[in-house]
Amino acid sequence: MVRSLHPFHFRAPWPFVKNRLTGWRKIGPMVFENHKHPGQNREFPEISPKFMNNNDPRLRNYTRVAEAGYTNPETGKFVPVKEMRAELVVPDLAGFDLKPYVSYRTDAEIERRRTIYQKKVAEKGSEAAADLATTEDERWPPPAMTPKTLFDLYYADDVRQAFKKRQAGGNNDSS
Amino acid sequence: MNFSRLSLVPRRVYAELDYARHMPQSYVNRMKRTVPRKVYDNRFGAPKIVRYYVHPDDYVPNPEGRPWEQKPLQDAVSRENTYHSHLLHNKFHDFEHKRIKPIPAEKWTIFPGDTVQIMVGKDKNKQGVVARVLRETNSIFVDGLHTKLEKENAELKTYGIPPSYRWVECRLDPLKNEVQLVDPNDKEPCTASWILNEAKTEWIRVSDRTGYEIPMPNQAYVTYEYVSPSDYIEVEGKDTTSLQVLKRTYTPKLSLVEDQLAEELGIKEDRVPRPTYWY
Repeated sequence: MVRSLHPFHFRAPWPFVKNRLTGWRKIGPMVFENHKHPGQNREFPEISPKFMNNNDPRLRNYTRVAEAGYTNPETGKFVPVKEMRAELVVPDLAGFDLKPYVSYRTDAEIERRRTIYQKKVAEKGSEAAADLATTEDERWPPPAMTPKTLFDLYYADDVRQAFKKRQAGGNNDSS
Repeated sequence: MNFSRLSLVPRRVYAELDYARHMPQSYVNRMKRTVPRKVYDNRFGAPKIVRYYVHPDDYVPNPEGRPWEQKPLQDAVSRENTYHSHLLHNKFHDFEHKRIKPIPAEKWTIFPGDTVQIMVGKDKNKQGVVARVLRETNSIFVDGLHTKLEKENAELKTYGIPPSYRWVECRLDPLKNEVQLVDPNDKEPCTASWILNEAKTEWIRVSDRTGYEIPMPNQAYVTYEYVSPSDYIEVEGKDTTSLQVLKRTYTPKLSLVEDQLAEELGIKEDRVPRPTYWY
């Protein structure tokens, strides 16, 4: 075994500089990282945690799947947490009518509905008047679900009754 | 109100007509090569850097055919190789700037199946039927007219197989008036424009000279998938029928989406939340 005595292997511990025939040169620890820079032509010198060894160890291996637990800092053991475990709930699709693609005949049907509805709107003058003359299923675009509709369905009756009760109660009270 | 007035103006259906209008966008981009080659992401919040095979600004549509045909695809691949080699050899790569400005879709008047008259070349003043239309490059190909003799299989001459010849249609530009629509009333070339019909329900093409309507040919509605939407042949097991798609199954319910889903899928919440305090 032959050990090399080339000065390259006996570098100074901190950067020195010398000025020789070729101009100012640096002697000492030189870290060449650009061969590791991302980019085909090494054109992106930004730090990438994937390959930089001098980065925070917590940044390495960040492409792994999220673990279902944590490591106890005191004992160093892994503690599984039930809530962190991924659970896939997939509904049963037996008898489900919707398929991955939609037939192009739907376009023709939608156009038909749209033209009929637009004619009705032009005839009656406004959308509200046309809505009274068409069923919800034959209308395009379909009727929008507004907060008012939900309110009318669930709260309007209760509010009306409470109001009537208060009015009746108010009439009886003298103060 | 403004939006109700807009909805009374009928849609320009003709602006969307194209033989390849239902082509999946991902396939078209892959054939154009304007897809990312490598994405440098996770740069600590800095915006990601994308390197393309062919940069979207560098893509120039081929006036001779669609992006997935042989010659345009060859050109796209060669541009991709040029771009890549310029990158490796630290050369300046100039993005292509010479491109044909397309006629806006609302003003396009010539469709496949129309009778047109050729105004230039050896077939000048001859009338023919439009075979293909490429809107992004303003190209019109008339069936059997304005052709060029092309040699095929020239490389097989060394094996003793003589090359075969065929007449290939060359593109015609409507913007330069190389081709004009023929008015069906007097069979003379004319220019057309789009106006609303009397009932204000649809857009119709009228000849500027005579004022008569030029009806749309049936071939204009043909696509790769169907001859007309109502004649589309549905694929068993893959296509949802229009009845199923347009069926209303929603019933309004006063609950959160998450609660409704939990109820339907049988997910029970056993966890008791920790006490929280307001100060």
